[in-house]
Parts: sequence; C-alpha cells; structure tokens
Amino acid sequence: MKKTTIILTVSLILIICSIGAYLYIFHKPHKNTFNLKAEHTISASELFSAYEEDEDKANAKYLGTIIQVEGEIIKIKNLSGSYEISFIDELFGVTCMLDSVYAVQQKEEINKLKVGKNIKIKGQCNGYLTDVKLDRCVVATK
Amino acid sequence: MKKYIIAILSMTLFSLNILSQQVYIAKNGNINFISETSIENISAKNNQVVSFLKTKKGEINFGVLIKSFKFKNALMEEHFNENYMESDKFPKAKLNGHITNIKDINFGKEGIYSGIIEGKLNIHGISHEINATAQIEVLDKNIAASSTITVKPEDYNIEIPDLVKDKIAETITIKIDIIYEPYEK
Repeated sequence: MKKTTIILTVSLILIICSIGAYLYIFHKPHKNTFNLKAEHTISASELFSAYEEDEDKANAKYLGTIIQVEGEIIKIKNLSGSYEISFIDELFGVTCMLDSVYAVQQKEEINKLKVGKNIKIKGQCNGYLTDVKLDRCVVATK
Repeated sequence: MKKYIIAILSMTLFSLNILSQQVYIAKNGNINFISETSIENISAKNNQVVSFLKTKKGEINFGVLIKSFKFKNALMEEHFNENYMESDKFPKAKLNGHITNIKDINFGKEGIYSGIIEGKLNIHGISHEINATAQIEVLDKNIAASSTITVKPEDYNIEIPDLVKDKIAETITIKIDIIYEPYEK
C-alpha cells in the first residue's frame, strides 16, 4: 500500500516536471528588454557611421546585440500603438521601434518625447537597410 | 561617406525630377509569412520593410531585415534566426524588380490597378527570379501596393530538419502590404 503511494507520488512529480519543462522550453516568453543589460552604449551618429563605413564589420559587432543609443529625436511616428523614433535622418539614420507591449508600460516617458529632445533608447539591433534598425526598444531611464 | 550618398542621391533625384520621375518610399512596409500544415500554423510579422518605387520606369525594390520578423513564440523566433535563416550570416533579404506592365498603370489617376512584377529575390544568400501580381492602388497622395507570393525554403538552401518537417510547410506564403509616400527632399 505504501509502495503504491510512493510510486504514484513520484510519477506525479515526474509528470508535473515534464509538463513544466515542456512549457518552459516551447512557450518561454520573449526576452524583456527592460531587464536586459546593454552590450554597447553608443551615440546614434557613431552607430550609423559604423554601419555606413563597413556594414559587415558593424554587423559582426552589433547585429543581434542589445544597444543603448543616444541621440536627438528628429521624428516620432505612431504606428497603431508602437512608436518609431528616428535619429539623424528619417531614411539615413537610426530608427528605433518602441513596440506596443513596451509602449503601454512607458506611457509617461513616451508622452514626454519631443522632436529635438535628446534621449537614450535601449533595444535590439536588427541590421542595416538605408538606416540602422533597432526594435523591441524601450526608453532608457538611466 | 554619408555626404556623398546624399549628394549622389539628391543629384539623382534632381535629375529624375526633371524627367518627371517620381520616387515613392515606404519605411514601414509590412511583410507577413505564413506556414500552414495540418499540425500547426506558424506566422511572423515584419513592419520594418523598406521599399522604393520609381513610377516612371516601374522599378521596385525591397529590403527586409530577417531579425525584424516577430513571432508570437520566442523559441520559434530563435530557431528561425539561428537554424533556418542564419540571420547572423545573412541579415537581410532583398527584392529588386520592375513592373512589366507599367503602361497599364496610370500613377497620375486614382484607382486600383493590377501590376505584374518580375525580379530577383535574394533570401539566405541565394537569388532566384520570381514573378508576382500585385494590386496597386493609386491614392490622392500615396500609393498602396499589396501582393502575395510563395516561396519554397529548399530553393533558398534553407534546411528544415526531419524532426520538424511535418510542422513547416513546403511552400511558405508571403504577404506584402506597402503604403508608399512621395519622396521629397
């Protein structure tokens, strides 16, 4: 009688653990930019120049990394809840996407954003088209 | 370098203007892709697509960053980037094409037109000629274009392991939705 209880308990624990592992592996959440440490802290113009001079070299250093970029806002676009902030130039500059998931958590910071204002933005570097693109961005408060 | 690019670009644009060549750009074009199988439907969205449209000659270009494709499932996004698209090695996809029936489209008159696009699609470092039909809507100021194309991962040397082969469609549907604005500089 006791043995069956132990076997039952052990198998129950195993089942719970494997369901937990399955959920963790297959349904792990996206990384939260708020909790990620910037691997590079750089000005928007430095970042853009690095890409303009040598895209491959810049990709080797920055692609896929979390960057904190600082610059003067030249344009703010509201794209159905997400905000796109441009530095330097709309087409030839650095573009940061503040995705709606983060934007709703930073209403206060976003309301304060203005063209001409200097800000710091933290996000993932996706690469270079005519501009350097970052997404999953948040307004950096530090 | 930047100054040169801008100088060359503005010169080109200037001369194009003389020829009444209009350049339209889109910075936030949408590309979604969908993989449908009986087991699972997988989709991803990208709203950072850059596209240029030159209405006189009908030239059309797209630039897409692979890392800008967003999945609901974080693990799928990771596999997509690391295992299938190898986005560290091949960070972007490109389409350079032209509208072959440009004569049928009056960019000066509002309306809905059907365009035939031929071009070279580069994904995962491999190029293939493709053609597609697009719906082109000429609006008051802007131009809206949409199209659906299909792509086979194996044509672009994208290897899908046997383990997940049943879950990923052999043909991926790609939906393109772009709103162009006139480029003024």
